[in-house]
Amino acid sequence: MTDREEPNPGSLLQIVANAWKLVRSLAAVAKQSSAPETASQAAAAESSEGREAARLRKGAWIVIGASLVWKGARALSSLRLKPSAEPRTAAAEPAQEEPAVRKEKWLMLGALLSWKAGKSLARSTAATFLEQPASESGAASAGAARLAESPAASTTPPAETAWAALQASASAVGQVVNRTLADTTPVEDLPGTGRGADRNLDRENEVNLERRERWGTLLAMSAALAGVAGGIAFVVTFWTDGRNEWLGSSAAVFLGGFGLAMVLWAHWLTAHKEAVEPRERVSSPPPEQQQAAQEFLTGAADIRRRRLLQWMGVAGLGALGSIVISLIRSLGLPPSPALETDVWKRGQRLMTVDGVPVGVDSLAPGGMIVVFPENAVGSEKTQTVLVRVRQDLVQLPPQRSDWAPGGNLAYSRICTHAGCSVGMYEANSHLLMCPCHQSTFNVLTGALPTGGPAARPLPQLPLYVDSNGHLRAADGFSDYPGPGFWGMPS
Amino acid sequence: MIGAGIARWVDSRVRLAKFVRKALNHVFPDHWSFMLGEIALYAFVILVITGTFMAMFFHGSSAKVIYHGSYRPLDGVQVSSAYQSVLHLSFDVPAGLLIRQMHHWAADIFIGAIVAHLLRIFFTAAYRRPREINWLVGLTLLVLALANGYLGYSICGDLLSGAGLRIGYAIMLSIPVIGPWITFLALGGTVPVAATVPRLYALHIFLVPALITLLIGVHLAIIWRQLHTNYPGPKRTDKTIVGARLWPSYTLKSLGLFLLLFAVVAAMGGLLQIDPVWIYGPYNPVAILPGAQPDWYLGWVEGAMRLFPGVNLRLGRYLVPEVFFPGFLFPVLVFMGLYAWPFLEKFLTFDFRTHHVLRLPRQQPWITAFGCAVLSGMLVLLFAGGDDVVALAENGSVTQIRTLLRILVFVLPAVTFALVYLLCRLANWKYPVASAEQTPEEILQEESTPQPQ
Repeated sequence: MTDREEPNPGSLLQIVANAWKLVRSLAAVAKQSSAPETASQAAAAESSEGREAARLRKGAWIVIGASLVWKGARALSSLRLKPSAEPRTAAAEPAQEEPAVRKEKWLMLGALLSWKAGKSLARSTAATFLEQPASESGAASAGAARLAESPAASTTPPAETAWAALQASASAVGQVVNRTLADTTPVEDLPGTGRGADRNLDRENEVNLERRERWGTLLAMSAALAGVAGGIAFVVTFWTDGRNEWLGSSAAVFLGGFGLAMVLWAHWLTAHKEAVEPRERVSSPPPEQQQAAQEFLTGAADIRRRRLLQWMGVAGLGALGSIVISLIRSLGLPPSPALETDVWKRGQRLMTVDGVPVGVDSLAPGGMIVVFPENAVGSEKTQTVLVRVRQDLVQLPPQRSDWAPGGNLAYSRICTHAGCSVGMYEANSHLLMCPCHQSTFNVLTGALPTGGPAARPLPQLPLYVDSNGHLRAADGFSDYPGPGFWGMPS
Repeated sequence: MIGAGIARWVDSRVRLAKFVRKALNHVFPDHWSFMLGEIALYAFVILVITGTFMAMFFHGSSAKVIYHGSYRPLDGVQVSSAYQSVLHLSFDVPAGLLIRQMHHWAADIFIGAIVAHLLRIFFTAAYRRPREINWLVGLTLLVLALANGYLGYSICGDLLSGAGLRIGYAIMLSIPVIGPWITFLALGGTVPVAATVPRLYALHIFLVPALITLLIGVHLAIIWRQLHTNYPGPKRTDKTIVGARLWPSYTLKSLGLFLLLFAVVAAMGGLLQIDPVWIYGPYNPVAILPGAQPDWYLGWVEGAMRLFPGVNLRLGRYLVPEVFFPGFLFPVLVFMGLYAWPFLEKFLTFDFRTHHVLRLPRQQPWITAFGCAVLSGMLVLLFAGGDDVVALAENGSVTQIRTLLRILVFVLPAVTFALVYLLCRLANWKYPVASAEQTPEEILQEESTPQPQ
């Protein structure tokens, strides 16, 4: 398991690295095929040795390319959901990684990759100057190995040697990383382990203890230091600038740093031992139940015998109930008068929210305004919407024919659906709309609902014009304003 | 050592060593989906911490005052005392805005985590015997959390909370027979009245959090007694529990999770604006707020209220208003269904046995498909809760979108049901999972062996 040939294709980084290598090698092949056009290469191609070398090189690139295509395809295919339930041997196929293990891998991959890349660069530079093949890592891909072994390799330009070495080491990095991390990888998927199974914690014991100590301490320490920095930043921000963004961010760094440190500590530096324990039966054994019941009933007999005391208990509960009900009563008014009291009375002038009386010609046709009765300006329940339309458009029912002098129509502004303010008016379609649930009411027909969830029309306020030309209420609303309730008369 | 000294002092008075040992060795399985409940718990802790801070500045009163504070655009405007105190907290108290936004975000996370936790329980059938009892407790916690979220944003005295309060009032009022009475007793009259905000505030900071705390305790005690469930896997049976001991690894991780969640909430509170009441403006009856939406967790009720047709019911001289059906009856039915589900499932599957090993969602295709169907319907409703905003953004008409959504709210669940069911069956056929259920022989054997005393 620890020494498998294939780099695990499941890692995203591997896929990216493979794809990158593929692109580079294809580009190299393309360059090779057009090589004779450049003067220096054409000259080299004329000698038989040079031709041989070019042929070998081309072959090598093709082999590399093909192998990379194959690897890339395998990597891509491994992204798909794989059956994890099927039993399989470790040698046959790499095991699926657990998410946590993959996370660990990511952490170490960055460090290892940069280290290896630097090392391989140095090695390839040295190889170029010493004119030695650079495939010592032993895990070079087949094409690169052939290239290095061929006698023509010494004649290839230094840059290409370096590139081949880089390639070889890049592919080696994948394997080294895999091998290094192999002991954190689950040994095998046991048959019957679904993807959803909770973690088998014993696997973590395979992690190299020493490395766990080193990495764990380093990571937890760094996180805690970040936390301290965040805490300092919070205090500094608080006493100087105090801006919300900085306060929040520094608090997040402080809390997150210490939170992360604790999680890392738990993950890397504490023992993970899987525990298996028997579950007790959740119900009591029958004898225990019987004993408990017996003892309860023995005691209860003493209570049951005393009839008078029982009745006293009932009376006490009754008294308590009546006290509670009395106290509840002090919480609120009975709904009956408050809900049903009319808010407009005959003769009241219509006032704007600023307390200015509204005249019959205050509004132009198409206009809309919020009005209140003259003694309750700005009150919630009396809010009324006044719209003016062209007189000939009004289609009120016959009994309301004189309710709209001069095309002035007044309706309750409280939606009959859920009680929001019906505050939007579209003059072209003569629709009042409630912003909460988009019920629409046609002002021409007595505010009948034309769309949305409202079922009842907005109550209308009959109007007349007094001798000063002011609008006054001729009566209360035609219905009870506001949302419906059980006892609401129709 | 001082620690040992204190431990001995306490133990010599209350005899704790045995319990402590049991607690340290408590076995808890390790899986990401088991963290959802923990997140909810920790979000509640954050809510209590930030809420206590806020309560020191908030005035639960709708008395009218003239605002004079740091926020210049509202200088000299008549606002409620509650609104003034929220502005004071946001603009004049150092870190006040941070704490307030953290509180609101934590509330959203709290309810989100509870819902996610609920879904995890549902889709893995963790509600089966003996855990029906904790399902009931957990659902009650969800109801309380939803109620407290609503109460919380209803007391700020801004335009949005005023609209929300009036809608809540209309829903309460619509309940047949008792609606007007309980509304007047609870809210003190026709909303808005001066009595309302102090009452809601008292409920928001005292009664409901106290109940939530109590029920969280009950919830955890039951988990403690019953031990956690395991996902199916090797060594995981109905007779064993597999996991990590509470001390020290699990404890550290869990506390780390708390701090990380706190960090996320702090970052959100600092960087993401939420409930900017100064932009909505103070509540007054003349102003309107187009595009108003409740917080996300009530969006499905809002959506139902928008999609339900305008039909009310006349019973003789009595009225059942249209808002009763989507606003009250529908959520009540949803929660009744949720409360009844474990018992309903027992009678549907004829499985009355004790279970400690979970079912994978695909191992229960009918239930998973049903759950996903309901969920998709809920998402349509949630979407419908913002249909006016969608219409505005897409330049479409609300009516058209609403017609589409009215169809979709029935069609999408049906399609989802069929699709999910097929997917589950396909997955089971392709990748069979060894069943954790006992065979009839095993059950017989178990029943014939005497119980351990």
